[in-house]
Amino acid sequence: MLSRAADNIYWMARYVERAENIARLLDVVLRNDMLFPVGDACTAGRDHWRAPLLMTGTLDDFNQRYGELSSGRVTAYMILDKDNPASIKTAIGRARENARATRYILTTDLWESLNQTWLPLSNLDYPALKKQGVEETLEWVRDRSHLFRGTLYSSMRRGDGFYFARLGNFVERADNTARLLLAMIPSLTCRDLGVLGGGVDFYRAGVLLHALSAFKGYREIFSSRMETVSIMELLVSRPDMPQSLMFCLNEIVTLLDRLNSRGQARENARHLRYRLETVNIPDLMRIGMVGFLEAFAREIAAIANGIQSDFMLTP
Amino acid sequence: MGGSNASFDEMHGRGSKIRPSYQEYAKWLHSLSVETLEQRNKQADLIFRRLGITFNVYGADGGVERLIPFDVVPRILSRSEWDFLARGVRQRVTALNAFLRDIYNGQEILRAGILPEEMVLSNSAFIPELLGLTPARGIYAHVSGIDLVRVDEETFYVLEDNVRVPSGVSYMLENRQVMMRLFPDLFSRMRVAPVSHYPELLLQTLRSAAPRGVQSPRVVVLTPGQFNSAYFEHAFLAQEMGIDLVEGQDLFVEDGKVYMRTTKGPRQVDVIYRRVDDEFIDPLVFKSGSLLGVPGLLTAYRLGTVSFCNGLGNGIADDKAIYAYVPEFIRFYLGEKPILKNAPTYQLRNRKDRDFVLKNLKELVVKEVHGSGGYGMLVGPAATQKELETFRDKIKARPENFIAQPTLALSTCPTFVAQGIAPRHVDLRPYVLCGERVEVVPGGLTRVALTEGSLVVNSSQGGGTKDTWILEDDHAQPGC
Repeated sequence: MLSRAADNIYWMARYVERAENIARLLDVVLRNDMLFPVGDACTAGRDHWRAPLLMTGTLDDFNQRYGELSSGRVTAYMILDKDNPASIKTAIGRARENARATRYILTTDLWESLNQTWLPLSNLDYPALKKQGVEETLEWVRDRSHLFRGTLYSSMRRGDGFYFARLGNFVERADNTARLLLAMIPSLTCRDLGVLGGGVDFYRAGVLLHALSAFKGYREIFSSRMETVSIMELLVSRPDMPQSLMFCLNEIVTLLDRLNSRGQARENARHLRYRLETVNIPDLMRIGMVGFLEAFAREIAAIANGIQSDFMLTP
Repeated sequence: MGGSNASFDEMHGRGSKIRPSYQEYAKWLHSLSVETLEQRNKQADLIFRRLGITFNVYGADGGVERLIPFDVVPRILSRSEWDFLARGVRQRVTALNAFLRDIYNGQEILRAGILPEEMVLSNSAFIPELLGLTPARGIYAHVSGIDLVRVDEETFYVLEDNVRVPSGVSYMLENRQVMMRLFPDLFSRMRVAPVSHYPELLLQTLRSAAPRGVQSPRVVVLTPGQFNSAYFEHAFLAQEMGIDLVEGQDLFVEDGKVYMRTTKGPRQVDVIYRRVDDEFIDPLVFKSGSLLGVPGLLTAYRLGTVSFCNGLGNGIADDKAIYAYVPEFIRFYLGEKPILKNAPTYQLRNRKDRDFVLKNLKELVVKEVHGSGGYGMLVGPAATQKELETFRDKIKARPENFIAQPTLALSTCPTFVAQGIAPRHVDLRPYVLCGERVEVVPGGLTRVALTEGSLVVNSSQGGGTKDTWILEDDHAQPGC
């Protein structure tokens, strides 16, 4: 496959996944905002709204251009701002640009579904967003992302194009899940509240699990009590949870095998998967989950670089 | 100038009776309300946006996506009208290929004195570096678009030949798709010849152009990139043919061979369906600043390791000054009588023609011989006094750079506009493929000037498109 086309397809999928994850993240914030409207010792009130900016490294840009933090401003900035590199509109716009550059490889179904996601978003402004509802819009973004993956899965031939798109999906998801966990750790491990029976606050955990479509999964696997260590196990090392780091790494390794990768990316991915397989979550919770997740995010970035140099920057 | 009243109408001819090819359609159309048409029209717009069929307009903000206006009323031709046109354009393209083969080799036509030598040799579209080079099968123009206009029941003129990088064929294909979605009932009532096998024929044509000895050629489409106005078409054709769409940066030349950069390393390319103009193909030879081309591509072409479709240097065959001689080419190379007429053309290099044209500028259309796309053109009846004077000076300074033609009363076709259905002027561009055989898909691109009375159909100047239907005869065998 043409290197540039592989690059376009890979990034198309990454950007769609990114848009979905921004939507999930904003959903967390919205729910937290409703559950803990006046804030508490853990979250310092309206600072819920600082989290998405911190996570995406856009706090300075936001402060400069928007000024004071407010739910409306952050919502507008994270969903609609064309100049915010981490907004949903930017992500879908870029996904569609990459698709357009390589639409001759995509099935018509896939291109049309993505184009149909972009069109209503491209001229969505704040009044219209408020009118149709912020939560409804976030839900719609998730739906469109599901549709994208589903269409990809059911319409594309199992060839390099398909594999590069899936690779983009899972590289992005691994990165995003790690970042989301990092952002949630302070609130999950906070014990200042009157927590029931020493476990984590049911609602706070619930928000995270819902955002990652993992609530049912948790219930199926663990006892009814919410425990941080179990949540972490679910989202870090369970191979059967589609949002978990382990699941993403399994996919990445398989896809790189399919693509006959002989380069650095495959080696790094295998190594990182091995670390996930051997990790002991309770130990990690004691000695530094934050450090582990930060290292994980760096490793994913290295794998992403490896993918670029192995396939896309060929002579 | 209006002209509509004086024009032949595709539906009504010159009277009020409906011509046979439109009868079934007219019956259907009159049973519809304006509201229904309005609604279908809007629906068409949505479908085009959904499919992402847009062209880019170069502008200050670096390219905006627009839709070419599409008209829901088809342009209909009968099978016998079409057969005549198809024979005509096939003949013409065959002669143009013979001319190109000759002009880059023996130049017999110059020795026979049919064509003034300086018209070729001092023409910037003629590329002397290609002398003595014969591409595979001796074909230069693999894909041609021949612009036709109709002025009467029996009279069609060729207005222009396009044998460099003709575009628009994707609109022929997509317009049909959209019409079938909008009006399925019409297609079950009328027998419209299908066009969707065009990409298949194109691929066969491109494969047949492979360098001698290559068994299963790798064919690619070379595009200037996403910001080119015809990018959608490049991507569309690549997808339909299932081949790679490459940009200059994806190719490189080593040891006289062309390679593309793939995820598994370099792969040799045999045929390039290039949608990049001659002067951008190879920065080593032509425009040195061009990032669209590939250094060394011309060397590979000269060595015969790669084929270009269309060939380089074709511009000499569709130059507006050369155009006047195409009927002579047909007689000279094919020994046949031209099936299609040229529009009457004045060569301003000739004194007599020049005097006449300068005196009658207001009634004529003047075209610059190297211009294209309707920019270097004067439409006398629509021009202001100032424009007329500017052109008069230009002609006097470099008369050999211009030709002139009478203002033709292009036929009109019913068109859906703000006021309802009204006649608008149209032209027709059939696409001719030249490989092992010369093929024409039954149909083409009908362009329509949407402004009342306007004769300029170019999309850059407010033109739209229509689906073009070739109606199979009722008594013909069903195609099953």
